[in-house]
Amino acid sequence: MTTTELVASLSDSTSPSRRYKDTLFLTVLWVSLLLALLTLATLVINTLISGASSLSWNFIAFFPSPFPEDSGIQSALFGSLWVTLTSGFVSLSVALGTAIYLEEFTNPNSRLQRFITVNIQTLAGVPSIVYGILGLAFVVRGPLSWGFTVGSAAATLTMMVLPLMIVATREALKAVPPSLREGSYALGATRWQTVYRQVLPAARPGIATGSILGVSRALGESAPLILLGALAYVSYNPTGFDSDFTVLPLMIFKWATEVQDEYRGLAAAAIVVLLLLLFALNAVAIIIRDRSRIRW
Amino acid sequence: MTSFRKQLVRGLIATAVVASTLAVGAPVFAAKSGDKCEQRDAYKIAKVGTSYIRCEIVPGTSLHSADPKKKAAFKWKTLTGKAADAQWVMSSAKNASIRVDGSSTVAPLATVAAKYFETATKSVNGKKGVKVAVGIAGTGGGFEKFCRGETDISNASRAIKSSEAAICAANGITFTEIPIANDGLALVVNKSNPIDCMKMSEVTKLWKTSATAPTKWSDINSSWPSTTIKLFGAGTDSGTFDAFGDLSGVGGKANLRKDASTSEDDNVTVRGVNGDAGGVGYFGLSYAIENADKVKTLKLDKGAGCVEPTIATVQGNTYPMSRPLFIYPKNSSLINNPAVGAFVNFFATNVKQISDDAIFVPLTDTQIKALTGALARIAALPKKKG
Repeated sequence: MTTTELVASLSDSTSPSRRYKDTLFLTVLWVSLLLALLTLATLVINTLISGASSLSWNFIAFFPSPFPEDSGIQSALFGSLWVTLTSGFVSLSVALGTAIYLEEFTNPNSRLQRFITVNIQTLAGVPSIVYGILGLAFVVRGPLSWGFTVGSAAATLTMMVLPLMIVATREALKAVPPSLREGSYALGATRWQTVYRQVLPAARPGIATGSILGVSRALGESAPLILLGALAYVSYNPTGFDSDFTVLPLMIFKWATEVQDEYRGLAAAAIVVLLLLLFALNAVAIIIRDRSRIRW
Repeated sequence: MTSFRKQLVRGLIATAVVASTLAVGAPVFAAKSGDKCEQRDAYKIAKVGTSYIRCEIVPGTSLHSADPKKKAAFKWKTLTGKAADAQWVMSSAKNASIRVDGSSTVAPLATVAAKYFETATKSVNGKKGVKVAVGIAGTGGGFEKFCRGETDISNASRAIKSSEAAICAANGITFTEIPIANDGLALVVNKSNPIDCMKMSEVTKLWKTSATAPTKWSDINSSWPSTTIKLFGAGTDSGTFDAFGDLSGVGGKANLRKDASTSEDDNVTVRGVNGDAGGVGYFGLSYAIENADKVKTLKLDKGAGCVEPTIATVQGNTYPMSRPLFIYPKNSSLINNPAVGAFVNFFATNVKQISDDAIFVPLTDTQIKALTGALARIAALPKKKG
């Protein structure tokens, strides 16, 4: 049997049992995809229907109120922006530094490197509520004693998303082909020049996607904040890092448990706003990725 | 790149427009007594010449009335006498923030008070009005924070325990207890359940942990249907759970049956009881009133006949499962932060309207005496110098 004949027999699609299996596999894939999409669509449509009547400009501009008629989310929206942007900025900076050091400046086979890697990966899998406990013990009370403020919430969420961001950033750096670094070194560039001018621009799409996913997670998180000492009623925007605040997920949590039925509509409307914010964030990630994609 | 920059600039302009629209304060009002005002402006206060006017709910109307003719309406009203000056003084508190935390049962009440107080102080001081933040850590969780000195006022759906008071004392935190409203615990069953009234001994039998705990309604009373009992309880950290343990006669929360589905969210109890023919649960009276179309509230009998939970029976303590609600302001906050004193005074002097709006049972005359006494003790606290 020649090589050509062998290949032909392997790719022979006339055998009925093989075609049957192929179709079956494709069907299983389609069913999984449909299930995922249906669940998502049901959730989104359901929320949209129950929230549509409460969505209005006033809903965005008004502050929370004990009365559903004049309740809004302005303070929660600003609180979410303060906390998420702060923790996003801090964690991205730290994650970048950590990932660059681990990927570019250490020997990947050294014991220290492996020890740190295992630890970071474990931390990335720790449930968010644990970070809440940590934040309560060390940031809100204990050594830092910042109280329940924008600063302590941002610090807690930073601890939570930092491992995720480091892992994502390292993957992005790893994906940059070694030939790019070698070429840079061959031309006499220093390590810093190589990292700054070659590796980072090449890894930008991956870093952007990873870090925005991390920020999205911080935006939607409520469990650790409830543990820190969430406030249910805050009718003013944060003025600084030492300010009281509330965030969108907490408003949703609070409204979902209110006595009056009207609050269910408000909770749904707040979910819609939160979803829109998440969509916007992901859109930004996609735009950055597409704009800075480099093809080799 | 240009288009991206353009988009960025457009985004920034849009943000600036939004921010400036938000920054424009409340409209200036030139109103006189009898003019209409909005619910948003409730408790706004203004000085007109030498007298004060305030935006108040029209007597006889209610935020929660099912009758459209009695639906809440708001009008400016001239305040008279000493009360007017007092309201003005309270509303002059400015530039301070007050941290309130504790019972999630009391939170709606404190939130209404906070909203009215903020409106009142902002109407006098503009943006320098007082900021009040209300948390829902639960009665126990609230006292834990309060005794660490983290909050100014603690809400409680029961009186402070001696163990909690001891922690406060150890940390040098002194406080004043103020009764602020009453709440009845409603026992609710499915609409299809024929039972209308239960004896307290039957309630105890239903909820007490024991080897012979009833599994069917007919196990308690043979004339009742043989549907399987499904228990829905309050979250174990809530003051409602503590209170039900005491008021149901089982001898404390430790003896409540463990096979109940518990939730911090009373709406879960409403849905559960609504969906299960043998379901039974309990929660604050306001939930029972709001959900009267979904679940049936039982009358209770402690030996003197069946009593329906109403404002009168809860106030008169003839309804067996009634409890008072409290706020605990920290004395050092009262001394050092005049806004805390102003808020407590505002809460106390407008408490009837506040408890109506939050669907709570107002204080009895005896309780009002206790409240007045507490306010007098607060007034006698030393003032911060300077």
